[in-house]
Amino acid sequence: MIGLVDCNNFYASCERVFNPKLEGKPIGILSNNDGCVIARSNELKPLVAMGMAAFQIPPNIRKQITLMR
Amino acid sequence: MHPSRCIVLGLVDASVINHLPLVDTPVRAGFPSPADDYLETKLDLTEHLVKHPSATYYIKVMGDSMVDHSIFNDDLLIVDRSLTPQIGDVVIAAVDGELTCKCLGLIDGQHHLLSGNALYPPIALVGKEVHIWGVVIHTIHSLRGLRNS
Repeated sequence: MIGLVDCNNFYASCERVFNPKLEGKPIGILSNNDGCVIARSNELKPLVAMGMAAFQIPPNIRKQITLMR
Repeated sequence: MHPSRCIVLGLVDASVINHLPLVDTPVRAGFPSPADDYLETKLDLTEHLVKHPSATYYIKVMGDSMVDHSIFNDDLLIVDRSLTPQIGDVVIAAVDGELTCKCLGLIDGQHHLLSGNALYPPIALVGKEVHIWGVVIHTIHSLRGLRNS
């Protein structure tokens, strides 16, 4: 028997487990070399597209969010 | 800063067995048993204390809000996240975005987080952003302190 498990916004959810301050906030996880956003919390989804390059995020949005590597 | 602030130090590693000799006869402060030379049984602390290693973490606790539960400043807690918290359990809770160590209790039928120190009032769980992170199963208190051994 094989079980397949998927989690919501996996890397973003992982960061929140050990850092509960991040709950409810728009957070995103960056790929290798801080390139692109590869995981977004639900609060970040309306602000930033999946896979968006970090440098392309507009400054007014960049101020409101937390990006983690 | 919350009383009894907690820092997660890491996940339990049950992959390496470190056997230390176990003294089978209970150690009383008195006459030692001549049979103590024949130590056969070995004990690995992680194996002995931790039932769910993939869900158990070491957490350092700071502050004195749980002294009544024998948890003191700088103690090391062993916390199992797979257990269902019950009334009376010492738990790690995320309160206002910070991990803190408290006792889960009932006051007038409502769940509260109780301290083990009369100086700190209970925290009501109703209408608050509180999440029970894990159940504290053991506390390690160093008598000599880790730097002065």
